[in-house]
Amino acid sequence: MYDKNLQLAIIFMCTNTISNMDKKAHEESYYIKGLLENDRKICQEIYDKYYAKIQSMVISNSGSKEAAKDVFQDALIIIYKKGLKPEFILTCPFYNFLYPISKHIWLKKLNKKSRSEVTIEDDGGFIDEANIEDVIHETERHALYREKFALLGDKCRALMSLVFEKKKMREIAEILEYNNEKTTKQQHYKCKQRLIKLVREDSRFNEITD
Amino acid sequence: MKEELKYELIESYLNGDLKGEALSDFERELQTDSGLKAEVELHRDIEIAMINKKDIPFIQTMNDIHQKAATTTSQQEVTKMPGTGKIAKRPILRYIAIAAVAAALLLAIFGRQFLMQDISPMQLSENTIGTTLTLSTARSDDGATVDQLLKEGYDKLDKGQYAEALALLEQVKTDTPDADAALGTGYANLYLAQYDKAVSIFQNISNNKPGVKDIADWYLAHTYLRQGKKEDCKILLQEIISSKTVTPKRENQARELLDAIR
Repeated sequence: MYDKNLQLAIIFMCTNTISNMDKKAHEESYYIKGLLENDRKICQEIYDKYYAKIQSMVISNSGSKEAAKDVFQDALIIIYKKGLKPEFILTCPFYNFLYPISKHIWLKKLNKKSRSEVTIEDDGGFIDEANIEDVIHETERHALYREKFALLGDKCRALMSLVFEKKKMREIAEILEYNNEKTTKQQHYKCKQRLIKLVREDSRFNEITD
Repeated sequence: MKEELKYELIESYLNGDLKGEALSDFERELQTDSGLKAEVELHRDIEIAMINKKDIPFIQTMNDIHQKAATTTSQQEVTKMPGTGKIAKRPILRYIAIAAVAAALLLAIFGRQFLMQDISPMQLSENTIGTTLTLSTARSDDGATVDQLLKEGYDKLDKGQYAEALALLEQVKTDTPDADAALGTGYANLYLAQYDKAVSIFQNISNNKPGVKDIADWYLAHTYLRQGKKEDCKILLQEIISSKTVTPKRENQARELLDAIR
């Protein structure tokens, strides 16, 4: 297994939570907005500027072009999900955020395959101070939620999936044939309560909660 | 605050449905109540975690951009490649290339079937049916007879004691408005190889309980598979895949089974 602490130590402080909102948003925050709004021009710019660099990092560390595409996409999804939180502020250049996340994703994949510790040389010249710990913890938390979600009954999962898709309770009641909106809400409450209980009961949850 | 009401408020807040005074009150409480703040963050974190890749709009855009870039690069590589067209000019090499492509195609089409030839429908079903059926909602522990029998019945299913499970679930199958009891009896019959009974139960659920249609269809497909009715099984799997309410996990299971049968 690779040394996670070492990984944590070489990545940068690029995000800030609501507690230090006095920090100024970086001028490249528009990339995050572009991803959130699915702005094709900005997506193209992100691709043109950074894809080759991420691909190079993956390929020079035993990866394929296909793997590079997945890493790039997964890293952008993490950034997108981070950007959905209103308190999120990008405080460093976009690449300083994208690169360590991509590297973390690729290292995880490499270490799954390899029994020995794998390290990746850093892309010199752009690294400031490291801290992507919250992103790594967030990824682990999300995996934990999905793991617990899979333990729910089929009907609960169907109900919660429709709620996550932002379907109205009335519509869900029709699809899942509940008597009315109120019953659907009650069932959803029970399902969510169960999910949260499962999450909280897992010892990993406290370790990866900020 | 009662927990159910708290959940409802949190969801309204996260969906942007809280307005005016209700919103101000909630936000004031968030400032002072760290427990509530943590709860809101957990709910939002879960919502974000559950967003499916296929529902993220920029993914398709990025894929298009990547596809376009990859096509352009490969065209440039072909143009630059010295000796392009050599294969076409040398008949033997051309035949070898055609034969290789044909072999790859045949392997892709029939390879899986060759590999699957030794697996019986029963084995295939056992390998793909997934984890034991579970209750769709938590049942109370307050000793209510129906809930208690349901829980005991499902517990027996989990332990593989299908006859005992069937006896328990049969007692409550007309007393529950949801389909848990019926699904359980169908499942027990499936494992007891009483396929005609299982088919009748699952078909009945599928026709009358849209909320659990995908689940009933999944087990009905497995019943057909075990009966050797592959075509019926395939039709149902297609229905599951194209269902609007199917969970991603069930959809994948159905795809994989369909692929294995083909």
